[in-house]
Order: sequence, then structure tokens, then C-alpha cells
Amino acid sequence: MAAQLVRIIKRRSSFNLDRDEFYRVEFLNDQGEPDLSLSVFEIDPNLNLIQLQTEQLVGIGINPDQRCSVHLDGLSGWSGVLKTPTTNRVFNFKFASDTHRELQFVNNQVLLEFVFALQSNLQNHRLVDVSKTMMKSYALQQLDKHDEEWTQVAKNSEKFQIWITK
Amino acid sequence: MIIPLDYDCYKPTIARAIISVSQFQHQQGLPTSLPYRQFVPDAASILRAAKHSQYHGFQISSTELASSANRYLKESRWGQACREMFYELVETDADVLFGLIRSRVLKPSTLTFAAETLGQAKAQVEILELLLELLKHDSPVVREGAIYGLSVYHAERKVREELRRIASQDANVGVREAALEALGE
Repeated sequence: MAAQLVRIIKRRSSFNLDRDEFYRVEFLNDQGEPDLSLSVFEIDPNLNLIQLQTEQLVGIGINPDQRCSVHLDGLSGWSGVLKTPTTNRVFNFKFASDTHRELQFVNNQVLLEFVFALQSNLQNHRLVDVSKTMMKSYALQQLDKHDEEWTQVAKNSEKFQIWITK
Repeated sequence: MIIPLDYDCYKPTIARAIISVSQFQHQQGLPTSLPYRQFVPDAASILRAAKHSQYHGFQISSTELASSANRYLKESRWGQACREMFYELVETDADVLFGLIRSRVLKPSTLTFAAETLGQAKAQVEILELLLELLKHDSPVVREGAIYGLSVYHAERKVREELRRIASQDANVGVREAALEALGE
């Protein structure tokens, strides 16, 4: 399978929300404003979804530690512009940073068109869930391999140390 | 409203007596002779007090709490409830975050994140009880947020019982999945 755009969503129960609530839960930024620059990742979910979700989870501080993802393949009726961020790495991991993209929307109306297109067929865009056990197992494998990025995380992040052992 | 400024330092019975006397004096237009003074609290003070009211015997009406919460949100630099506000509050003034949740003015789409974020505050029985209440909220996103907020309390028997109930009975499949995974069973 080729690379797809993948969006990690904040709530599993979002799959059963009405449009307005889905929008408010998933597409407002930290300041409560419409997120006109959505983070997505360009990956092959069959190969890299566990890696991506684990790196993203640890990169943003492990809270909460359960999320799921949707792909955007075949989604029509929207007109966002895909860009590769030029800012510094926002995650501690090269893979997550290198595959990170931003979907930019000119205004809230265009964002809403995207949100409604996704919500109307959301279940068909859902990717296989990555469980906490799978993510921990992935992280432990990387530590066993003495991966430099994961070794640094294990050394420096107290949250990670608690998460991986509990 | 009358709240002793440093009510948290006193045993509930003493605080209750102080408040009763102060309220009486205030109602009678008498000067308070106790070292605890009547004052007009700001919105944050009322929100903070919400966590302590049930244990310290003073009452904050739901109307007063809601109006304080609305005032606090409006006067904040964000002008509305949002995740950044919750992240800041949990680090600097978690009791205000508690009061905002207790006030019932937050919509489910923000309450879910407030509940999740409150769980990062220092573990306290009041927080545990509030998050347990939210597990019974009508909105599935709020119940899911409460599950995440309770992550540091997952070893508590009461929490595990509730998570088991949700994992088997919740109407929303996403909430059931979140509870099941939280249980790690």
C-alpha cells in the first residue's frame, strides 16, 4: 500500500458524535479556535502506524495514552492545501517529524467542508486501533536495539519511564 | 458570600463555625470581630472554594458557581474555555479547574479535555470523586475524558469497578474500548 495521509484523533467516541460536536472536539486548536492548520502524517499505515502513534504519543507527553487514527484516502469535497512544515522538528523522533504534514485551510468554512466530508463517512476511514500494549512493545523493542532516540527519551522523560513500566 | 480567606488551614468544624458567625454578623450589619473577614471574592476564589465547600460546610449555590465560571472564562486571556487554559490551570491553580468542571458551564466538547487534564493534578480524593461522577455524564466524550483523567487512579477498587461496568455496559463503543484498555485486562 502506498503512503496515505493519516490524522490521529483525540477521542475514540468521536466516531459516534454529531457533526457539530465532532468538529468542536477534534478540530479546535488548543486556544479553542478553528484549527486551520491540521497536523497529518504521510505514512503507509500497514508498515508504520504503530511506530507513528508511539512516537507521536511519547512526543506530545503521553496524555492520554489511547488514541486512534483515520486515513484521508478517497475523501472528496474539500479543498485544503497540503504543506510540509518548515519549522523545527516538533517531535523527538525523526520519522514522525519527517512524515509530518499540515493541511491548511483558508478559512473556517473550508475547514468545515473537510470536517463534514470526513464525518459523513468516518467509519470507512478508521484505521486499525493501535493498543497501549502494542505501543509499549514497540518502544521496548527500540530500547532493546539501543535506538538512540528512544534511549534519549528513556533517559530524560520521567513520564515515559512511568508509562513504560506501569 | 463569605469565605474565610485562609479557610483551607482550618478543620472543617472550626471553619464552619467561623463562617456561620461571619454570615450572621454580615446579615445583621455587624462588624466581624473574628480575624476572618467578609470579602467580595473574585470569580477564581469562588471556583477554588467549590472544591472545599462540601467538606468545610459552606454553601456555594449552583447559580453563583455558574456565574463565576462564566465570568472567569470571559475575563481570561482566551475569552473562552480551551485546552491551553486547562493545561495552564492544572500546573498553576488546579482548584480553579476543579471549580470550572463542577460549575457545569463547560460544554461536553471542552469538558472532556478539562476532565482529562484535571487528572494530571496531584492525586486528591475530591478529584477522584468528581471524575467518577463524570463517568456517568450523558455525553460519551465526557465519559471518555474522565477515563483518561482517572488514569492515575486506576488501581483504586472503586475506579476499577466503574471501568468494568463501563467496559461491559456503556452505550458507546469508543467509551467501552477506552475503559477496557484502561483496565489492561
